[in-house]
Amino acid sequence: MKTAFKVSSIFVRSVCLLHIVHEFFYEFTETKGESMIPTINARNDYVHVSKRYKNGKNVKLGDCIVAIKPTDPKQRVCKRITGLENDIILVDPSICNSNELKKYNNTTVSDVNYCFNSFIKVPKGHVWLTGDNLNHSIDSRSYNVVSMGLIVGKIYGANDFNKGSWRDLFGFRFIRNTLEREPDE
Amino acid sequence: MAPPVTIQTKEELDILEKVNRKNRKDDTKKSAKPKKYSITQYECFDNDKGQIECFPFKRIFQQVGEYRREITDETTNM
Amino acid sequence: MNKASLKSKYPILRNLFITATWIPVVLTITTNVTNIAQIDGISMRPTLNPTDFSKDWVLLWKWKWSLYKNLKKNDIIIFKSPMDYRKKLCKRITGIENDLITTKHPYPVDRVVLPKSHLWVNGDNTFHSIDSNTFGAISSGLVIGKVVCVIWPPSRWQFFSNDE
Repeated sequence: MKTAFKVSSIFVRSVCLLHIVHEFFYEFTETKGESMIPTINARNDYVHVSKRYKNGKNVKLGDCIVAIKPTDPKQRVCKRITGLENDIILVDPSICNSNELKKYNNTTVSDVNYCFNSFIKVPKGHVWLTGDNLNHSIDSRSYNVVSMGLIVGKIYGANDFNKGSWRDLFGFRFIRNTLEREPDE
Repeated sequence: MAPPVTIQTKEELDILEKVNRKNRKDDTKKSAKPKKYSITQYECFDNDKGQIECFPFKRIFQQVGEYRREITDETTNM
Repeated sequence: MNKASLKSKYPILRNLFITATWIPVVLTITTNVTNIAQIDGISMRPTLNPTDFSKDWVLLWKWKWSLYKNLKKNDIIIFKSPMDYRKKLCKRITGIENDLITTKHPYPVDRVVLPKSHLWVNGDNTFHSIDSNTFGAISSGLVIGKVVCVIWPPSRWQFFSNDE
C-alpha cells in the first residue's frame, strides 16, 4: 500500500515536471499538413519548439512559429511571420504571381490590381502569418491578423523521420529566419 | 479577427507617408536611405509525375527607420 | 556512502529536495486547472470591485478542455488583451460564435457576425471599459480562465452561477 502510494506520487511529480518543461521551455512535437512545404514536410516531421518566445516575445519578421489557431483553439498551426505590428503589408500578393504560375491559373489584369494594391497595417500586438506553401495554406489571408497572445513558441529545428537513421541525425536541420537583406540599388 | 483592419490602396498610403514625413522631418534625415529586405515563400504543386514542385515567391519589404512597408509587385518576381 | 547515511546526515537538504519536486505539481495546477487572481480597475463595476476601498480576489477555473466548449453568454472571463499579451483583462461575455452583434461607439462597423470560436466581451461599467467595441472580437484561445466566485474580502463572498 505504502509503495503504491509512493510510486504514484513520483509518477505525478514527473508528469508535472515534464508538463512544465513543455509549457515554458521546450517541446518536441509532430506536425501535419501541407502548409509549410518545402520547409517542413506534410507528414512524419517533428519540430523543436522553444517556448522562450511564448506570446510572441522577441519574435522577428521571418521567424517560423507555432500558434493557436484563432478559429479553433484546440488546433495549433505552424506558420511564418510575414508582418509584425505596425508593418504595412499586402493582403495576398501571391495569387497573381510570376510566369510559371500562369500555366496553372489564368490571372487577369483586375487580379493584378487587387493583389499588388490592397495593403493593411498590422495592428498593435498582432502579427501576420502565412504558410511557406502559399497555395495550400489557411492563414492570415483567411482569418486575418493573429494576436501575439496566441503564439506558443518559435521553431528552431526539425527532424525528418522519413530519413530516419542515426547517421544523418534523423534528418535534423535548423529552421532559420528567412529574412534577407536585399542589395541596394 | 480582432481588431477591425481596413484595406488601403497604394495612393492612400503615399499620401499618409507624405504627411508623416512632414511631421517628423529630423528623423527621416538620420535614416533617409531605405533598406530592402525579402522573405522567400513558395507555391507548390503536384506535377504530372506525382512529385511536388515548388516555385519561389519573394516578398520585398522596404524599411526606413522603424517604418516598414511591403513593395512586392508584378516586377519583383520575374 | 549509502542512502541511509545520506538521509541521516543531511535531513534539511533532503527535505528541501522533496519540497522542490512538488513545485512543478503546484505550477501545473495553477497554470492549467485553477488559480486565484486579483481584480484591478473599475471596468466591471458593480459586479466586481464595487468600491474604491478594496480589491476583489476571485477564483478562476482554467481547465481548457472544459473551458473552450462551455464558454457561454454572461460568463465572466479573464483573458490576455489582444493588443498586449502582458495585460490581463476581466470582462463579461456578451456574444459567442455566429451571434450578430450590434456594436457601440469606437467600433467602425454597426453590426458584426462573430466568426468561429470568437467571443464578444464587454465590461459591466459600460462607460469606463476598454472592450470589444475597441479591439473587436477575441479568439477564445486568448481566454485564461472563467471567474467562478469572489473569495476575498469575505463580506463579498459569492458565486457567479450562469442559469439563463
